[in-house]
Amino acid sequence: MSQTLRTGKWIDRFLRLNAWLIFAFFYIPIFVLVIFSFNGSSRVTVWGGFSTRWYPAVFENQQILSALKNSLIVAGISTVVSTILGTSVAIAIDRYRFKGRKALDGAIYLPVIIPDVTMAVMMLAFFAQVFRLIDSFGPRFQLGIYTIAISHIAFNISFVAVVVKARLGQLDPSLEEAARDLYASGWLAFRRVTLPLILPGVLAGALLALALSLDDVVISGFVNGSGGTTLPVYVFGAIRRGVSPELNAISTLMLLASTVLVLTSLFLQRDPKSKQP
Amino acid sequence: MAAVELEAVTKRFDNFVAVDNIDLEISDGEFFSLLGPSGCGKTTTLRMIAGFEFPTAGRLSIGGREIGLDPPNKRPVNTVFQNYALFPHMNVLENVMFGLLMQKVPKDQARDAAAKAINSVKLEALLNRKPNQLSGGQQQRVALARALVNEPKVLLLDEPLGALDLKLRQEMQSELKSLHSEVGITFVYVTHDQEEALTMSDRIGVMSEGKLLQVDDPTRIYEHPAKRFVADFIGEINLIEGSVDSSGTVRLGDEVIACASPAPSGSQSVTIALRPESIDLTVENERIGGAMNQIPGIVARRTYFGDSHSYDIETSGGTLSIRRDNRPLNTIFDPGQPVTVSWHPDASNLLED
Ligand SMILES: Nc1ncnc2c1ncn2[C@@H]1O[C@H](COP(=O)(O)OP(=O)(O)OP(=O)(O)O)[C@@H](O)[C@H]1O
Ligand SMILES: [Mg+2]
Repeated sequence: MSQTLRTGKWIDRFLRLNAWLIFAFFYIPIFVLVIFSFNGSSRVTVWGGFSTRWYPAVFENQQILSALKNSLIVAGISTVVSTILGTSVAIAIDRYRFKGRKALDGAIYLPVIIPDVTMAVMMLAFFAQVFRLIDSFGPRFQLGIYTIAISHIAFNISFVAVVVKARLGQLDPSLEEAARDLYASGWLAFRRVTLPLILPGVLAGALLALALSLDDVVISGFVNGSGGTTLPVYVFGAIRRGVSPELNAISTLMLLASTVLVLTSLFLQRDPKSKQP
Repeated sequence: MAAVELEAVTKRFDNFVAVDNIDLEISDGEFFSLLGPSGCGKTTTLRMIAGFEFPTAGRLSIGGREIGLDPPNKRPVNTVFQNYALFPHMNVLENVMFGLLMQKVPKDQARDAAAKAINSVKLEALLNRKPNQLSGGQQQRVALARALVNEPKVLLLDEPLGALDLKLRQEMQSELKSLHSEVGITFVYVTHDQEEALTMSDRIGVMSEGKLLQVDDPTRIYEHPAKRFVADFIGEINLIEGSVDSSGTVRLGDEVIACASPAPSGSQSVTIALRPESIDLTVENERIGGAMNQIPGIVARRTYFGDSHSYDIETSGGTLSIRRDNRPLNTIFDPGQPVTVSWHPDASNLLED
């Protein structure tokens, strides 16, 4: 009896320690990254006193600025397009009973679960076929930032659809019926009742799409072609030439941006019932 | 003219028949209740009138016009939903204005009409509240105002008081009733509460398993149920088997009795329905004048209910349950005592199954 109690206590202690270890495992690398981005020395392994000089340096590097510009264009386009398409898909699955609805409902999770590399190879193969087809009509297409944007749209639709679908699931279906009962056309019932109520979910999906697009390196790296370097792809390339304090600074900024986006997205995905007006 | 008319309306979900070949005419200005147990098809019937479901077969007209496949927004009816379905992102005023704005009523005109409707349900102090800042009863009133402000031809109410506690429920019942006579709109009211249906309705339609069994005013539904199910579902009742001979004479055990209607020809047995409160008890062999049915019996059990006594009386036709008001000079009978059981022929109804 007392023996099992003692064992219980040890397990308890072990689990608590384990939780702290995992916590440390997650956050120590982040700490190291952030601290060394404020390193005065240009040698990354040696601490040369506190300095913020790498941050302005980031914004004077033309390669970084052009990569950042590419990233923002790709993220902007893919977020807007995938939010609209993903929301429509979620509504179609939630609302309408059509042939193949079940299959679509399952398929929508596919890009969420398949590995990035697989997705990248798929997109590359797809573009190769499409280009061959288009080229046979005359114009010559090449990989570039628009192929990155299309690839990002392809996986972001899923993430948006999954988030919006969760929100729709919490929506009382009689609300839209009430709107129709009160003389609203199908479109007006959507515009005045359903859309405002799922808007937090749509925004959450959009922010998630934005964060995923800004963070993606594998897929972008495969389908970028020349001149289509995004920020993560640039960082990935630069790191092979060696870690620099400048890279630490960019990475810290990217970390900050995606943390804000993802936290805001999670905040918007809270259960609407627990929210005070 | 009929406000709502259903002709041979059937609704099937896959192979399940939710509403089975219903014929029904609801008159202008009537307070009509659909009453029946859970799952009998009340909501489905209401949803077909509202336009949320379409009949699998049959015809449906509102105000004399066949509405066929018209969508809900093209029908002159409004609904009070069971869970109210108030728009959570709009305040009380915006909720009530919604229907008018959708009908392209100018904004200030809509605002005035909505304010008036909100006054009529006594919520003028809460115009700017959101639905989640209102009590159940208040939400109920907003739902009523939101529907009535459109002055529909027909108001559909699906168990609107279901979520309220008993006291508030009774209060809202009488409020609904007076609102109905004020506005003169046809109400179609769905409930599974028999008392609610009896006290509020002009007429009641009793449903079971998708079928409409009887449509009558509350008195006839209670005092002259036509079907076994109707008799059993509403109030307490004695259902006893009687025999019929070739001349159509009905017997309960050994005793000949007279009933409200003649026995169906050719039948050998009938179900006799008799309300406990319509039966009288007297001491043995005391004869009562008039054309009363009188049969002998023995008290088997007496139960005290405060305002009344309930007796189980054994007769040659079976055990009868009897209710007697507790008045100061009323005789109280003891178990084992021989008694005479009597009732007016009109109180004994012969039922179809
Ligand atoms: N969309 C649907 N698909 C399949 N079956 C349905 C659907 N709607 C209703 N039904 C079935 O039809 C029957 C009647 O349902 P309905 O909602 O009309 O019952 P009700 O009389 O309103 O019951 P309650 O008092 O519980 O509300 C039920 O057995 C129900 O399961
Ligand atoms: Mg119902």
